[in-house]
Amino acid sequence: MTDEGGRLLIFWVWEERYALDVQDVAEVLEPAREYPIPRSPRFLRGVANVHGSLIPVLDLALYLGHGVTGPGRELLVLNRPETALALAVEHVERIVTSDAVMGEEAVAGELATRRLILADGPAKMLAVEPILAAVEEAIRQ
Amino acid sequence: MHVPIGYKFILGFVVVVATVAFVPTLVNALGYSPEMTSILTYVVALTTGLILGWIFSRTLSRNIGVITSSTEAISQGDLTREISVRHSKFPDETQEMALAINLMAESLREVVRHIRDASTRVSESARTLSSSALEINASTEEVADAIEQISHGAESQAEMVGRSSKVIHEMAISVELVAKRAKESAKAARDTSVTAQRGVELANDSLALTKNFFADVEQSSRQFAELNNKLQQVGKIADFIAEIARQTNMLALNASIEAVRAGEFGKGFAVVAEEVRKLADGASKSAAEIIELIGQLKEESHRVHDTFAESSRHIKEGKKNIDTTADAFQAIVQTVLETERKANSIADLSQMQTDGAQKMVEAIDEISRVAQDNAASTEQVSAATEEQSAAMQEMVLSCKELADLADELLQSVSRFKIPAEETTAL
Repeated sequence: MTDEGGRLLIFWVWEERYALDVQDVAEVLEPAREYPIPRSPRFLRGVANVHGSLIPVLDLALYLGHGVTGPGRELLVLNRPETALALAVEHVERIVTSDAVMGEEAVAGELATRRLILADGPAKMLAVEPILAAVEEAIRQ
Repeated sequence: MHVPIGYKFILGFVVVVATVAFVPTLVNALGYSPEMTSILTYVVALTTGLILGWIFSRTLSRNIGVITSSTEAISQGDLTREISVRHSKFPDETQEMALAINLMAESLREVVRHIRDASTRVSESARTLSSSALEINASTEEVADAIEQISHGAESQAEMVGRSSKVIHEMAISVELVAKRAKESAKAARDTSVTAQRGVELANDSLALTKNFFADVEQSSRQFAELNNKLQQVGKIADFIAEIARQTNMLALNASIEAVRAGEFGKGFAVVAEEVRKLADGASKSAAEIIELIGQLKEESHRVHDTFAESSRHIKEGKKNIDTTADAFQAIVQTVLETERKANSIADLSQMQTDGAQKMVEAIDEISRVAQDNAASTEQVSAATEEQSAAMQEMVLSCKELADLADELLQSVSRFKIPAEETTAL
């Protein structure tokens, strides 16, 4: 997904930089009021009202095995018509073009398999599919 | 019946004559011869004459003998005896003589008694007088000694008084100096008072300045509060700008996302969105800087405020010190005024002392004169007592002589014996 002319959204989770393909992101939102979902896993914080639709909010930090995402977080609404999901992240930094990626290296992990080398530091490339699958699994349960 | 002795002899003669005349007649009557008658007549006449002569001469010689022995005893100094002549029916001159001698003896006894009495008394008086004179002499000597001492005392008194006069004169000079110094002290105290008054004024000025400063500080504090309020407002505005920048950033992000989704058509828009994001980022950074600056300013202002508070505290303490200083100056002024008053009082008193000392000098001079007179008088008295002493000595001698004379007199009358009871009666 780092094709020519592609763009990456850089954000922070638990003092670590991550990147998402802008194609996967529908919108960046202010944190909205969340309503808890009964019997849901802990990383699902609840559902939020986004432009009249109820969208589940996933605490990415919790999901990645860290603590709860602190205040000042922002919501990344994923661009998946089949599964509506918002990721609560700490801070959306900026959008970079894929030209800015100077190199990449593989890392072990289910959610992030590559580390992109940027001019101002590395950023893990986040895979959206496994997250969606996990959420679907969780919701199904 | 008093018959003088001559008459007695005449009577005897007459009797003898009568005997001669009448005896012849009687013898004739007896018948004797005329020769016998003549012889008998002579014998009778002679016998009668002898008898009468014996009778008369016996009494007379006896009385004369008594008188003689008595007068001899008197001449021997025995005045004890009383002449007692036999009582006769016809007393004669011897009786009278005996009476006269008895009277004489009585008178002599009286005289001797008086002389003894008087000489004893004179002797005693002379002794008493002598001892009195001796006592007087001793007293006079004591008086003389005392007067000599007094004389010495008067001399030393005169000398002392002279020295006292000198000392008092010097004292008067010292007192005058004291008066002068006291006046100078009073002047110095007045100067000090003026200086202290100036100090009070300066302290009051300082207090006024401090008050002004406090007012300024309060003003600054208010201005500071206002500044802080404004800073707060600026901070709020900066926060607002930051918020807007954040939201703009988000909008720019979303616009970028939208532009990406628009594909080829969105490229220009993506550039615009990126520019907007950059602007928002810049605004955000600037706002952050402003907020930081405001934070620094706040910190700085807090420090300044603290410094002001500290300064205020110090100045308050200073003010207290100035208050204390003003009070101290006030107290100094009071004390100095009191000092001035006292110094003036000392000067006045010293003046009075000087006058008094002058009078004292005069009085001492007078005393000196009197002491000198006293010394002279005591010398005169001393001389007089010496004369008196000499007179007393003479008197003692005279008394001794008088006593001796009285003793001699007593001695001379001691050979006269007088009846014992009368002697003891003396």
